[in-house]
Amino acid sequence: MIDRVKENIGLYILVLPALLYVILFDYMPLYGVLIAFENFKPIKGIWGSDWIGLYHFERFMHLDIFWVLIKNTLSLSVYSLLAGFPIPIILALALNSVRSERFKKVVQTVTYAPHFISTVILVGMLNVFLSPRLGVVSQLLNSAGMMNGPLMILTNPDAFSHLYVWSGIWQGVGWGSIIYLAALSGVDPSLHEAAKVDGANKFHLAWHVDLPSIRPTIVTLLILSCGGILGIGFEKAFLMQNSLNLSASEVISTYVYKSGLLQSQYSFSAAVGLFNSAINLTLLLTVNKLAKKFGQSGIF
Amino acid sequence: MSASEIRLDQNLTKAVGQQTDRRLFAAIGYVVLAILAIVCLFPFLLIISSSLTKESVIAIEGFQLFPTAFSLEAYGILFQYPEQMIRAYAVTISVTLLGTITGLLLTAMTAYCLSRKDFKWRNAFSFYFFFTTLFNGGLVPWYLLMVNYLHLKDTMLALIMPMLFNVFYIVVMKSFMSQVPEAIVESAKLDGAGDFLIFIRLIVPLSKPALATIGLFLALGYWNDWYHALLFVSDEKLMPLQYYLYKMLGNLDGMRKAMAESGAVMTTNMPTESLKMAMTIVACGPILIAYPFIQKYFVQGLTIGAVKG
Repeated sequence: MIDRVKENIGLYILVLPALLYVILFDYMPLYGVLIAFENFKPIKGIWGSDWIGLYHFERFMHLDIFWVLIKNTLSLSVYSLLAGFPIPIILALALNSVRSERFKKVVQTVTYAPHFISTVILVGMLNVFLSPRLGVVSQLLNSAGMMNGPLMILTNPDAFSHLYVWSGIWQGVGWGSIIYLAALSGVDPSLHEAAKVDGANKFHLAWHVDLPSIRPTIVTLLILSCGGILGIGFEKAFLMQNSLNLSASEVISTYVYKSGLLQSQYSFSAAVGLFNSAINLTLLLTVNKLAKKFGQSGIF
Repeated sequence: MSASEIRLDQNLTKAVGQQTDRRLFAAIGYVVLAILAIVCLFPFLLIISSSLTKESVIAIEGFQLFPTAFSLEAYGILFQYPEQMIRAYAVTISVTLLGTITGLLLTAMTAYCLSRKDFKWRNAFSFYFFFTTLFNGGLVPWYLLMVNYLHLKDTMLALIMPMLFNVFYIVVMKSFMSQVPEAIVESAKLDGAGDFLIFIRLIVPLSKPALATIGLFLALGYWNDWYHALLFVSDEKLMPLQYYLYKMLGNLDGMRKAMAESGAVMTTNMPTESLKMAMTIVACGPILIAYPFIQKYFVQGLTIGAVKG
């Protein structure tokens, strides 16, 4: 045993920094989750604070905002998944069937670009283009006579999910297609030749040859996205929020930030966060199991 | 006409039909892709042109794709008091450099250990790292750790540490390093090289493409980060570029609202809209300029990772 360690001592030294990093920044907070079951006071510390069990969880579930948060978080992520998942696949299939290499390169370069801008800039763009009076959309609609007066889309709760999802698609569609394009490049060209001899057009090729060939990739990515279904990220929702659209834009992560860090209800918001993590994990494991049941390989 | 001639004729019609079919689908494909490309490009062009348009023209006619009244007014104001902007740039560049170099080293070291098939605890370590992506403590315990226990509030470390380590990058790097033939490592060992030496002298040089890719991923993450500044930075001297932009966009909004209430929007000479645009350009400029040249490395990163899933 000691000999084996000695033999690979270099490897142990190399892995040590990561080991310590993960203990400190990932496993310590996991231990800190204990405060969700306590009436945590920073002065008393984790061991000194009073233990109150599931009180915060119960309180959270009885709040009026509980169902609002669940509804907003779920509807945003389900909408994102339904609208956002197939589009990169379609883009990849279309790009794959294009013959002109130059055209393909240009489309790829342009559609990948939005991925590189920050969320601050993306939301800044949204605010400017959709601004009530001067925004390009408002001007177009007004001059086309389809609307009269200011465009109130940014403050409209009903429009929030559409803006959220479609701006996300704008930013991610090109980038999301890369992985499918890579999978498509592995499709056996002789399959295409054989299908063409049988009279297949481009649509047939994409539907009957390409799509089935990349099915494992699609399933893997689908599992991963289902696992994150309650994990609507903080950044974009927070940046797109304003006091008027809050009824649609408050999600679990923004609520945790506000109640935990701004109002210092540490224990309560730790409980909310833990609730969220637990559901995410359960979802991921369930979807993975389902995938295995239907004969796919799953991710672990 | 004999039966065989008729059949030939039918086949010919069918073939011609297939040809037009194929052309039609190809044409639809090209048109859809072209539209998508325009949709992706349009906002960028609009921002560049608005940043160059006279504010008074924007206020009356709105944003234009081709500026009718060209002006560098907005950039002039932006660089009139450049200290804050330069400081924000300096913070972002330092954080990006330090974070990328340290993160790259950490990723490479860890990935190499996990790629060595004779490393006994390989699977245990893999699970130990992978688990963090499945389940985490959430925002609050992590925040308390960073602020109350490690006292990282208002330090540059608070901007660097959180993004140093990423399991996805380790997976990508590991699958790249797994392709290094074991024979090379074995022969170096026979020559008396230790694991550490092998890593520095053999593995790092051989992994240059993957290092470039992951390095760019890390750098982009640091460059675009504002979230950790929102959490941990209140000192203006430590504001990175994106957070500065976030603050300024907010402040301008407040300013504009105040002006609108006093009915002064049309008479003011403070260019709010074009200033926002100019600031957006300044904040993402370097990335947009470098992007076409480094794009392929990013793509490479995703596809290296996809090989092994």
